[in-house]
Amino acid sequence: MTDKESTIVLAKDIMTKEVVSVHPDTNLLDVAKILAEHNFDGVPVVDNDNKVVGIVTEYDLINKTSAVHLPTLQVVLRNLPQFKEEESHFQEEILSLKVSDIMNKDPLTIEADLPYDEIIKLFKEHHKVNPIPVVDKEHKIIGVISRFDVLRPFHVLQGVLKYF
Amino acid sequence: MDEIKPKKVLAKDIMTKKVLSVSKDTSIFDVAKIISEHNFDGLPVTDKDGLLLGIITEYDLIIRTSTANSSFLQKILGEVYSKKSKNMGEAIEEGAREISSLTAESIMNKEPLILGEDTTFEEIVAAFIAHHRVNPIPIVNSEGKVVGIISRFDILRPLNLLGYGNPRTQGAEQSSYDRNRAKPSSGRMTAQKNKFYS
Repeated sequence: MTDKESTIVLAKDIMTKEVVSVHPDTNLLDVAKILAEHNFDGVPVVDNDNKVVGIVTEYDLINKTSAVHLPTLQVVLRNLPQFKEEESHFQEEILSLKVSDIMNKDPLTIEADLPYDEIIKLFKEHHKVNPIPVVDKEHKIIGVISRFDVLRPFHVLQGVLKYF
Repeated sequence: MDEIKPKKVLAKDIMTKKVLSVSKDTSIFDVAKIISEHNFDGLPVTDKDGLLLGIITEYDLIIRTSTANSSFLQKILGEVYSKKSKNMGEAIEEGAREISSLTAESIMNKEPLILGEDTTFEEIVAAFIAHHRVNPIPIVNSEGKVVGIISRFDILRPLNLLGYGNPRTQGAEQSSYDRNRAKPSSGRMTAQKNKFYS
């Protein structure tokens, strides 16, 4: 980056390039696991050509899964071993659900050259959205930007982030 | 659990009881640090007696600070990228004065959604579904003191319990998305936020 350009920060400068994503056929239990293990709010859904076809969030999982399976989920919370005995029916049902059944199929995406202040504006206008996939001209995923990335200046100042 | 409703799972059964909170005078720099270090979506603001005053989310931090200070934030980022680290001090001093006058109180949501300890699991799920911006939800006792907190993560815990050790789901997290993963960049940290901490 040259000195002249250094004042304008773009999506590609702050995005996370090692993207964790899921496939439309990924099982819901796997999505739940990935979200929990990485502490994500959401993950992009990409097809075999790396094209973004959706996004799936913790909210979607709660909204579309828990509502239907509330009684069973409570049995799990109370007593997992007991659940194992009565699980087969539920297992069939929940394992038949795929990412494509619950994902948002028309997610907000941005391109790599979008300036920082435009990104902030998007987060402000779309308060449900986190993260935002960054795509190239063919709609292939090249990064994601989360609220964490937008707050990077704070993290730098506080010594949480040394470099990025 | 009480004997009258032995089958109900309640807020107090699934809430996180060790609640991290900040005071209304905490600077927003410290709020940002706590939120990022713990990977929280939001943080309760309490008084010295533990009474709930409000909640601050990552979203609040972005929208309530950036409007006034996006040029400052850009400058910080710009300095970091151009590696003119000797100028960082100046840039920070200049902008930090403005931002450091902002406290938790000035950006918190003063009327957050709260639930009681005896709220049922169904009611908690319904609350999350009805309020899609809300995460986490503070749990308060009859005196208004924060006794716990429930996030979307807590609601999804049953799904995670089922996913582990299930032969029909992917055993290793890697395999499910490896083929879709973008090319690793050079020197860039991974998507896992925790790894950013020095």
